[in-house]
Amino acid sequence: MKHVDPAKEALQPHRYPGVRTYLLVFAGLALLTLIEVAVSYITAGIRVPLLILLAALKALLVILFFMHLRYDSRWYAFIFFAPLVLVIPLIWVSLIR
Amino acid sequence: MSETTSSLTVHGRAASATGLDSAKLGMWLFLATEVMLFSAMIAGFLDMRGRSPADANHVLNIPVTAVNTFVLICSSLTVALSVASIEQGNQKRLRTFLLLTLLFGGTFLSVQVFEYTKLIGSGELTPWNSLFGAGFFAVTGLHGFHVFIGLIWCALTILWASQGKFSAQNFMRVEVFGLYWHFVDVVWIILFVLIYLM
Amino acid sequence: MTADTVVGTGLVRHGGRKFSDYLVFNTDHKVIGIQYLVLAFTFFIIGGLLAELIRAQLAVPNNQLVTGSQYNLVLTLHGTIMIFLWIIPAFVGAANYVVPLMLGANDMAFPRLNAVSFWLLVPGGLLMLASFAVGGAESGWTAYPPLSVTTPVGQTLWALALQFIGFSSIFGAINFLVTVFNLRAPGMSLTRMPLLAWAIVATSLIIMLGTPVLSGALLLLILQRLLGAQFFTPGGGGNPLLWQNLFWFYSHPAVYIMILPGFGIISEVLPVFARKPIFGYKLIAFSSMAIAVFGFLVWAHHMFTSGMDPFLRVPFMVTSMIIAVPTGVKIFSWLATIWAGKLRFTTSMMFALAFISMFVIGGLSGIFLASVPIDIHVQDTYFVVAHLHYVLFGGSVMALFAGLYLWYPKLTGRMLDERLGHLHFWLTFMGFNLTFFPQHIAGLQGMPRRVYTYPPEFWALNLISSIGAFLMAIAVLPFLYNALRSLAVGKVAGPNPWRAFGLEWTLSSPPPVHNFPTPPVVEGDPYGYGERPVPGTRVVPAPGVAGGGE
Repeated sequence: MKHVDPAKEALQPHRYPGVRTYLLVFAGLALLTLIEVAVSYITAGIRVPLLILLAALKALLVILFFMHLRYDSRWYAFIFFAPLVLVIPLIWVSLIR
Repeated sequence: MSETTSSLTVHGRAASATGLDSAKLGMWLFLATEVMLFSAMIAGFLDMRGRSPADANHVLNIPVTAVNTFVLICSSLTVALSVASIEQGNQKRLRTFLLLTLLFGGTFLSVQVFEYTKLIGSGELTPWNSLFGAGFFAVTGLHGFHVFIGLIWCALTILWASQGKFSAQNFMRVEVFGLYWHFVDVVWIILFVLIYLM
Repeated sequence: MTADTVVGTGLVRHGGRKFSDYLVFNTDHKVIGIQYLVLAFTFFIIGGLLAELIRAQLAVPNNQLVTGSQYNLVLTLHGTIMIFLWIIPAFVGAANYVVPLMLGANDMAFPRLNAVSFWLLVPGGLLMLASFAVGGAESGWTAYPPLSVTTPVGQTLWALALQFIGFSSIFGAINFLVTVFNLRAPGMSLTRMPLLAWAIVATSLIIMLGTPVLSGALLLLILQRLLGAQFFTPGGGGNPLLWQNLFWFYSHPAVYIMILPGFGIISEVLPVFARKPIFGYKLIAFSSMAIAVFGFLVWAHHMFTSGMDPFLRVPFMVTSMIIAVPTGVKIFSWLATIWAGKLRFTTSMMFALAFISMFVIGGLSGIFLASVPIDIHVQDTYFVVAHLHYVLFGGSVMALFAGLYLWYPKLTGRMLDERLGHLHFWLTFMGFNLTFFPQHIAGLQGMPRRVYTYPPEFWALNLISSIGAFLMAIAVLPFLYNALRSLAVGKVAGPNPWRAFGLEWTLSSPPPVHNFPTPPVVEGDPYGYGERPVPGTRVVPAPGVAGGGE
């Protein structure tokens, strides 16, 4: 009855992470937020790149674990991250004076 | 809108030629459009930020917003836990965690409204008196609007849950709502740093 | 309208059991497709009348038919309506109808979202008309600040209208992508899909990634107009180039939104009437994808003269010219497809052939314009107007008509009259060239666009243009008459009047409500002309065809 290409992923029960992983990720997010706020008070030139790095790390944690991208089909990851390739020229050209 | 032909069989054949669930695929495609929307807004905001005084964001209250960021992260956790609950067929915990999500999300939005009224009421920052203010209200406002939509969606999901529409085999609607909610959280994680801390 | 009793004919079919079903929320993709087409064609008439008004004003120099301000309003609405309420939704409508059929699907992936997409277009269209009634949208379809933030209230309605239309586009694009990926029939691998499906994938990707940027820009524009925020006005510290960047980041890819489905339709029409397989299937499919990607990296070629950093000119010139490569691949593939074919000069084929030649002219003037030294001289002249009409009318609209003549029998169960069709074609073709070819010359001589009058030395060229525009308006009449008359008295088409491959031709015309009573299984490539027998031309009709799906 079902026609599903066996080479591709089937509709199937998920192998999502458990409560423990979620709590760990949550703790990581809370900790990173604290670090961010602390970093925002330093004045050295490393502040801005460090803040961006921390934000990217937090965003990745949510995307990979809470949104299951680490466990789901690679297609979803492709769909989500591919647009970022276009975002770079958009932001770059917008900022050139 | 969430009515789909996914995971159904139409005239005896599986509805998915790729094996990907249609609802979930559609949601990820939608999130990609949201990536572009917020990228455009962020590009605009960075341009405005560059044209504003370096200390333009000093009127913003970092401690309060940091706590508010934490509240939104809590809501993301509860959504993740609600999906984990229904995955194991636990209806009661599904409803509890969704209600907590509604609570945390509502708190976040209330604090944002409070922040707006304070800033505009005191005249410290308004959309019309500075370019930074214009960008601040446009970008955080658009995000707040997304939270608002998420709250309505969350309430609907609670309603469906209380009608017993989900089970350990059928919870795609919860998962798709969760994807949206987490995405809104991700946007805030970026905005918090770009607007408040930088 | 009781065609219900007649098997296989009449528009009252599909999920629409009676005429009024076409006026309400209906989730059948075939009904929605027709809703889109009818709405879009209505706006084609409205936009066309506005164009006639423009040409009437410009028929003689120093004409006082409309004031400068009214002229701006008319040209703004003409451009916006033709792009957002005619070409884009008309392609969406055609694709809505045929793509699920071509893939062997019973509907779109999200039928209700599909209907929502259409019904978002209705308030969009109404707001657009309201903006015309109120007046004020005078800044051209590009709506550059500072003009677009100082014009009266109609401009806000205009922006809101585009916001609705944008949402409609985005939801439609997501729906098409999921449909094409997930709802293909067994055996319909990606490389067995008709090329229209590939074109719709490329188009939908562009809509998905481009339109949200326009939504963002429009949101800022609306906020500036309503709240007095100073995003785009230098006086308040803002940046007018920000609008141009965001606007063109969407609107340049948008020209591919308006042409890629046309490419797809032409790839369907040519093999049918040349009786040959398409040449270079994979190249045509992949060049669509290449255009979708490269299309996002060229937008600043619209801004060569707007004060952006001159350092950006060369990279954007180069990327713009690179687009000509995948486009050329398609043109040569089509020429190779008709080469030594058994050509049948039906109206559909005539429009398709006109598409190729007219689009090449528009494409070549596009390469001219991409070149910085030339662009600086002809920017904002009628040369640009000529170029864009050669691609949008000579390209998109010709392709739309080629598709309408091809699929009209499938939509209605009746044949169009070919003699009236040829009349429509020749009037359109001659009127079009008469209108727009002289504008190349006027533009090179320096006649600026978007001005309500011109110096007397341009009179002859403009008079020719205006006569051509009049012919184009006349040309619509035989088409309208033909389309309405054939509904009732056209020859009964049968399932496959063109002896075409493609799953849509294996069904009755119009197809039954749920498309495929038994799931089709696809075994070959979609363009096997001359290589294997055409299904549906056998003496015994295929199951589910003759009985109208009973």
